[in-house]
Amino acid sequence: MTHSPDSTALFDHLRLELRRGSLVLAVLAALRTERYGYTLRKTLSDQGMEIDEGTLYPLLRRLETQGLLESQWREEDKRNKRFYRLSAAGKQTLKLLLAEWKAINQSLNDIL
Amino acid sequence: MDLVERYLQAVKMWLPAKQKEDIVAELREDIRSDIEEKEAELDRKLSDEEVAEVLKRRGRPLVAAGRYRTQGVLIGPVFYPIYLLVLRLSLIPFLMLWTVRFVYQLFTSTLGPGDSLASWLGPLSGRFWSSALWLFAIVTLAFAVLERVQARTG
Repeated sequence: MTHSPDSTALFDHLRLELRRGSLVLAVLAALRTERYGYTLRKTLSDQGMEIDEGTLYPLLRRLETQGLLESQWREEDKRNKRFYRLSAAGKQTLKLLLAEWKAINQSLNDIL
Repeated sequence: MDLVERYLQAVKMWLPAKQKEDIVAELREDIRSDIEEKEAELDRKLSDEEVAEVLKRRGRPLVAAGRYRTQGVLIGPVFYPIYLLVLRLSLIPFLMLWTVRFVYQLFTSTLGPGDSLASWLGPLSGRFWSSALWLFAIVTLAFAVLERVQARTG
């Protein structure tokens, strides 16, 4: 297959789809420890999971609305920051999702 | 007002009303942290151009704000085919009704045989188009309302 602009766009789109679910997992898992947005972003990117702020903050808000995260504005270093952490429901959901993810990985490995 | 604040105000304009303040406060904190980290790396203040570069990377205000919107469609994929069907189906009686009206106009018009067809039908065709537009608007509106209700009740 040639690498036309179209196929690059298609690849980007598919890659985004593929990453989306994993990002949710990564965010939930990283928030077992309480963090605010910026440090969360750094933590994830240090682990090789790049996420730009335009994706992260709306995602955090969505997960909070869904009851998986809890957040709180608090002062740190004389500045107000919004700290997020996994809620009880979030912990439960993360556990189920991780089991699901492992099963998917297992099947994929077998297929490949 | 500095560049960052101007950017934030522009984003704020397009945010969902209830969350405006909250989102902007968080975004401000994130941008500041970003800039501070770069400044610590370089061991100097960022120039206006460099700050602008940081902001540009975050996308246009409208796009940046748009990511926070959840309800984005007027008529979703569930209702869309039904919407198209209703539009098509309502077109049939609509066109029949207007054919009758045009024919009636032709026969009852006081204009003579020397007048053009346009002057016979002219006054009616304006009303035809405006009622076609009304039909389209009402059906679309009804489905948009349906979509909202369905989104709320799940």
